[in-house]
Amino acid sequence: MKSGSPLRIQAGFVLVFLLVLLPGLPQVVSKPGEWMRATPQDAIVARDRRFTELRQALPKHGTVGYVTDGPLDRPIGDGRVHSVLMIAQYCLAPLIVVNSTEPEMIVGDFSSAESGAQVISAQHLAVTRWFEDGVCLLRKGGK
Amino acid sequence: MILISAILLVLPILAGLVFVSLLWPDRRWQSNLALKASLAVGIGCGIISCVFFLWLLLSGNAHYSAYFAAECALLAISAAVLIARARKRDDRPLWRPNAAPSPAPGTRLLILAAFLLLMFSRLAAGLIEAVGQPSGDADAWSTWNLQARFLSRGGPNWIDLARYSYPHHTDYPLMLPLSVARGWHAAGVETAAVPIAIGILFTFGTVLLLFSALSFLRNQVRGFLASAVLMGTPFFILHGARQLADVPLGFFILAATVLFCLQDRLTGRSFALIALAGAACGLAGWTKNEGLLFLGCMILARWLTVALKRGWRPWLSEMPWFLAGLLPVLAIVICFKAGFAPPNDLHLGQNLAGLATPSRYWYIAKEFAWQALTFGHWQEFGPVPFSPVPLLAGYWLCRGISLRREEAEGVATSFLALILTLAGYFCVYLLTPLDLATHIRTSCDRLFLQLWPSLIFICFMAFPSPIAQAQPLKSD
Repeated sequence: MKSGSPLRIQAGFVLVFLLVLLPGLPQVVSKPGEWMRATPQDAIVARDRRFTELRQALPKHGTVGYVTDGPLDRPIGDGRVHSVLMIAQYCLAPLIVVNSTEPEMIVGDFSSAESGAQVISAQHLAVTRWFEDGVCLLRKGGK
Repeated sequence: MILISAILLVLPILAGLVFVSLLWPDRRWQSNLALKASLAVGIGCGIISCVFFLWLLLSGNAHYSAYFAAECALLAISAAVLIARARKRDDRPLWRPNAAPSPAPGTRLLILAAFLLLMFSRLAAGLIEAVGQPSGDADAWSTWNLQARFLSRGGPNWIDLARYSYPHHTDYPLMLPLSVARGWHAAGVETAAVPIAIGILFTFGTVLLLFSALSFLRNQVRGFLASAVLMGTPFFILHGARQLADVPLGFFILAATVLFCLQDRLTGRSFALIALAGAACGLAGWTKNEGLLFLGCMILARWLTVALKRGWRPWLSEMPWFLAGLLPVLAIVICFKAGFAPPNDLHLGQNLAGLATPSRYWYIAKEFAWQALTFGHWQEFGPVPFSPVPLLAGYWLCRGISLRREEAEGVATSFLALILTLAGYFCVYLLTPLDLATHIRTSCDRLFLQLWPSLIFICFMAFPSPIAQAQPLKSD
């Protein structure tokens, strides 16, 4: 403060400065180190990458169905519970993704090809094409 | 190509700066530059998102080269008008003198250095958070960035964004998605850097606005202390970095609050700042539905503080200016809501029985009180649970408030608007068709976050200065 201003004002000013600066420092100092050791894994980015190839095989707009092999709300990569249907909608926009097997084209989003095969058979669907990591394009009319 | 993209990406801020400067009472370009620049961050993004929306309607979401050329031409014309306006010198005093004691020049430099050091340390923290989670929070990717993808990838079918099937807020206004989609077109690539940059810009635009407004209206010590409280709120930095719309909404609420207080400091009868406040309120409504609630509350609060105290005439003389800033933005919000958006999910399933259930009142009041006591997630970054809200309330109870008569109106308007908005949030919870406990748990802290920058501003405007009590310093 101005010379001659009370010491308590200066002390208060420094205290506020330190109270704001110090708690945030460990975050700034430690986290970049963590990055150096491991690429950050954003679960949504990973899911987005998983749908890349499928997206190219789908039309530019319209509605597609969706089928999966577990509950819609479940923990994914980062351990937090997300709606897998919502993630598929985010990844495949501007297509409209509906939780149904009625549309002509249906997106299969399974934890693995093996568990996907059971659902496909139970729902009488047919595989148009398998992509990697449990993702496939389906249509109605399987045996 | 990279240079063109960079220019197009910063164009909203330049447009905002020109727009704010055109309405600024002081014609000199260098006057209140930090204050104008901080207002320009949000107001520029907001206005350009409105222009981009009109382009979507007119062009069917195509011809981006022509659109960006038109944007540049509009900016050039506005800048030319601004330069012509700046040549007409007006040396009459525009602002009432500042009553708050100002620190010595050396101290000011020290405060500025401390402010910048804090800002860069928090900026680093924000960037670390943002890069570690580039998709942002669940609400960011599942609402704002999803809508941005419809706008960016959808071509003429962009309106599908209002009809995807997942039960979500598909009626939410488009300021943020349009800004992100425009940024992707400007960059030529759909990159997470654009929504991250917008989130960071609004976060630190709010900090700069708080600092520069209080430095001008009071002094730099208060500006520093207030911005330190805001920057030190972990919840604020985290949510800005995680691309949530509550931070941009908080920016517009703060901008309207600051502009009403600045209006009180003017000596003449210029109402251009009221027009800017109208635009800020409109943009709050264009950012989130809660912004529309704030807009209604601000109009009511202004009427209560001006018309009831000084009569209808002063209120009627400033209201056309407020509407002049508000209506163009509001027209766009109404166009989207009436023409494209589905009905709001909370409004559709309103639980009117909630009004007659006393236990709901008690539960919401309890949660609001708990939120006020613990707001900010400060405990995550320190060994002791801590919240500055009880400290601010305690200071107010012990020391009261200290405002000059001519300053009281703007502060009272803003404070009343915040209280009314809070009451509005209370009513929304009373009527919610969702499970009350879950609804409050997942949203209450973010609602408080929207009002937090403005509450800090009002406190640091109204509280008496400990410095003045200890020893009067020289006045400006």
